[in-house]
Amino acid sequence: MKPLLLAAALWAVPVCAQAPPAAAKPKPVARVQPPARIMDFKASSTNLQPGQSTTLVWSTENPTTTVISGLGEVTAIGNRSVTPKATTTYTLTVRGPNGEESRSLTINVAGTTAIAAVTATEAPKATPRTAEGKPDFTGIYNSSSFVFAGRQVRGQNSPFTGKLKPGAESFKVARGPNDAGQYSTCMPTGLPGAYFVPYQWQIVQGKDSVVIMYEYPHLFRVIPIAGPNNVAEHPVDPDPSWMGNSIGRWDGDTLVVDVVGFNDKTELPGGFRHTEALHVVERFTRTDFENLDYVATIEDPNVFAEPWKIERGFPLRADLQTLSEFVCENNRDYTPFFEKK
Amino acid sequence: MIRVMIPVAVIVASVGLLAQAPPAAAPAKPVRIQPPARINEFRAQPASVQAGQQVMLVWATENPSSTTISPQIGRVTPRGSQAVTPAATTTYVLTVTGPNNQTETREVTVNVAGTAPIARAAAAPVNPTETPRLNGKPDLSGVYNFGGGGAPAGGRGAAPAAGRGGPAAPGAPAGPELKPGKESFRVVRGPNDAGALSDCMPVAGPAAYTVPYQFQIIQNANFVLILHEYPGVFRIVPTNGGTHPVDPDPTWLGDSIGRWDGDTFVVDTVGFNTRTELSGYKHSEALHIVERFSRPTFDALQYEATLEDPEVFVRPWTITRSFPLRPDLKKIDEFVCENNKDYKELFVK
Repeated sequence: MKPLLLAAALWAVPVCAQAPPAAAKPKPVARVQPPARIMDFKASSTNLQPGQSTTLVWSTENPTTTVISGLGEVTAIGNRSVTPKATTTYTLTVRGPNGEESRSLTINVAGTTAIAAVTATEAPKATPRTAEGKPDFTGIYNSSSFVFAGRQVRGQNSPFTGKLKPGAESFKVARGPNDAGQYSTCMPTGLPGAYFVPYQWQIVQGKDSVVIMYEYPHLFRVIPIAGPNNVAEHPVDPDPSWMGNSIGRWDGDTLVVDVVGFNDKTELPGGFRHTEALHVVERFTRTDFENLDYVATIEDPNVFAEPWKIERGFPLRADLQTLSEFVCENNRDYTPFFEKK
Repeated sequence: MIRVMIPVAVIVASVGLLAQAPPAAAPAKPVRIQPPARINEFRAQPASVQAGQQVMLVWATENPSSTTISPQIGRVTPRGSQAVTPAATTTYVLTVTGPNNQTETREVTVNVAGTAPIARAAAAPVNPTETPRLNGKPDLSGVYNFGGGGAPAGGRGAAPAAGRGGPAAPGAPAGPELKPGKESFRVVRGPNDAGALSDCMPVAGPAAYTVPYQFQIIQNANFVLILHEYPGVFRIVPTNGGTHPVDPDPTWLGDSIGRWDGDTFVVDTVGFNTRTELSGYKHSEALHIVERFSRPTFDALQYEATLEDPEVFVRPWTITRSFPLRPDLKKIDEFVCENNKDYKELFVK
């Protein structure tokens, strides 16, 4: 079922992104922003024996943020299984242009006393940090390809500014009518293309290395981080690979990842091919608990007149704990779906 | 350098043969003199550089029980090379440890033009058997070799857990045993069936650790990741005390949650689809696997998996494995099947 979803989603996304702005705008009408509302907040069972689970179910309208006490930020509509140890009151809070609205739901656990209700946190939470004092990037982040919970993210619609050098015009991708595009075969996306598909990605930060996993098409990168007890160097002659060879270092609170050793099979955002000389430098900064700031500098002296940058903000998906499994069961079959009749 | 992807079934076939060779008949044991550890070579290429330039350290040792390079590099293989970019003139020290903690060291100094030598750090005490720890728990992080030669607990006769695996050897009571009426779950391959490992699909359960590729574990306070080089898959195991979803979507690798039982990391996995194989059997979505990982020494990971599927098998069974650490590798390689379907065609007779 998933691959079909992918096909539909990827087909739709570039079309949306490239749609020209609506022509001949009429005079702007003052818009009333609809208020955030809670439509429903219930549980599959509100009376439990100790150790039993219940599923909280909620739906809201027009929220900018949706928070459940004890669970943190959640999607606007969703459900979550919980196993409270004692009688617990969960409070759902939506925030919108009109302010806040809350609703509470108490789950009784037989033979226990109620846990004091936790008040929803107000201020944006600070960047989490490791025991060594470095920012901890561990978390799931949204792709920059679609808006999550109505939140505007940095650079959402910024143009891709790569300028080909004279004589390198053939590196601009031009597709024939039967070319389904780079995302039709489930091959690795390269960088920074991995952030431009409508799937989440996840960071798990270890002691000497950071792992970045991309739900589509199920990829991971292991990035050794240089430190007092850890060497992180590129090999002298890395094997060309789809995702390249990555090494990391800290620049203050920013994680800088240097990537070389790409093969020439992937495309860059904006519709460019590249050579094995591609060099990508990624800078990750977790500005607060909920936001990751990302800047990629792209350089390929065989293709581009000068290095160029892509800047994006990626919102944390506090409602998710692990990526879903994505498996392309037969890559070759996907392409014909896209061929124009 | 161009890397050639070797379809895993070819390698599994040869490894399987090795693993199943009977042990050589052992004559009476003579008293063996253990040879001392020696350093045959330790050099830097080039030995003098400008700031920012890269140097290759190259070494070869004999008979070491442990080999380390300081500063920064730590445990390494007996023979190897490592690129470094020292910020200033640095003296690297190679230390080998042999029987009875006998040690030998050799130094090489890399001169970086226009810099003062870095004060040499006191040689870090090397304890080759100490388990690293993180947040009070063993730190399982590292790259490990596959463990193709293990046997199920409770008897010889390891069911070949990969490739053209047949049923468990006769007389292996702890292996899988089908329930009456479930004979169709035994995998029977026709001559043109290249096997479960020929199409680059994810490999579930203990078989994932028996393909001839490395795997890597990364651990932090809330997650343990298990990354398999073949076929390039990851498992994310949360360790924050959560539960399985009430009705998980069936997946190739299932839904995993982890917890610590003393110094043993226990991973509970449910929610499998029915596409994978276990030691030559298919299974139902009721498959439940409990894996126990421990790292009693620096050098190796001990692994035990208990598998149960009450729809198909009479009783649970357990498989144990040991995976040696690869201290020379910081990460596993990228593995990409560029066209799954083509691999199968290679194997058709």
